[in-house]
Amino acid sequence: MYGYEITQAVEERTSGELTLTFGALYPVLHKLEDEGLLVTQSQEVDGRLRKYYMLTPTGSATAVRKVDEFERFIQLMRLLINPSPTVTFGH
Amino acid sequence: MNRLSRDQLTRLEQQLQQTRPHQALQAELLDHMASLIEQRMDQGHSFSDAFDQVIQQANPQALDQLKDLYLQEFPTQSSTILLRPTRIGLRHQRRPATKPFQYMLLSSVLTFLILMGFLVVVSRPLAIPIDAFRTGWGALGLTGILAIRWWLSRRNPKPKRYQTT
Repeated sequence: MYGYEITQAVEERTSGELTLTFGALYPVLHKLEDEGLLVTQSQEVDGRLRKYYMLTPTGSATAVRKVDEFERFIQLMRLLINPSPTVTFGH
Repeated sequence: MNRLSRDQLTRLEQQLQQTRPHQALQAELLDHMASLIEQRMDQGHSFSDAFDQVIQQANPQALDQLKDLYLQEFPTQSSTILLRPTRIGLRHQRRPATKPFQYMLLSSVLTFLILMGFLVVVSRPLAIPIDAFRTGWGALGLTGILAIRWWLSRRNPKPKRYQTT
């Protein structure tokens, strides 16, 4: 996927609720590339250079781990906001 | 689907160059903004309208902030055009810092040569021949020197070492 395509995918999947600006996107992409989690491939499209980003095997493994961590975090936040009746927090 | 013509792309490129974005971003920003313009043109906007809208979004302040961020995050990344002068510049910047080391090395070499000269020229006539220590008086003198050294070392004990936590 290339930068603009990623922003479009985010907008589409969140039904326009979340807009990713290039100022937020590219620093993150370049940082992940720097860390070896992404690799790029440049290609000329319609007279301009387009850079496609792909996950490396390490990047894929890290993505799976991060998603798990994030889901666990959301679970904990839900518990904090709506504690189940069986869970007690002190007196 | 609309595609930008060569002239439209050149105009966008010139506009982008005016904001002087970070080199690592230039090509991608051009593609991103061109794609945004094309999207708006697909929605029925004219090129001029779409161009103005996208340029507003990528205002110089936003690009400046982005450039600062890149300079902080990726200080080693620079353009291929600027790569050579930057490295040379860095080498020149480092040069003054190495000067004290050069002076230190030079003075050490000079001191060593003077010392060697002193040893060769001056100390030879003053040297005590080794045969002097083979006699009873020589052995006695050597023992005396060792005894004085031992006595001095007792008088000046080594300073205590303090440990920091």
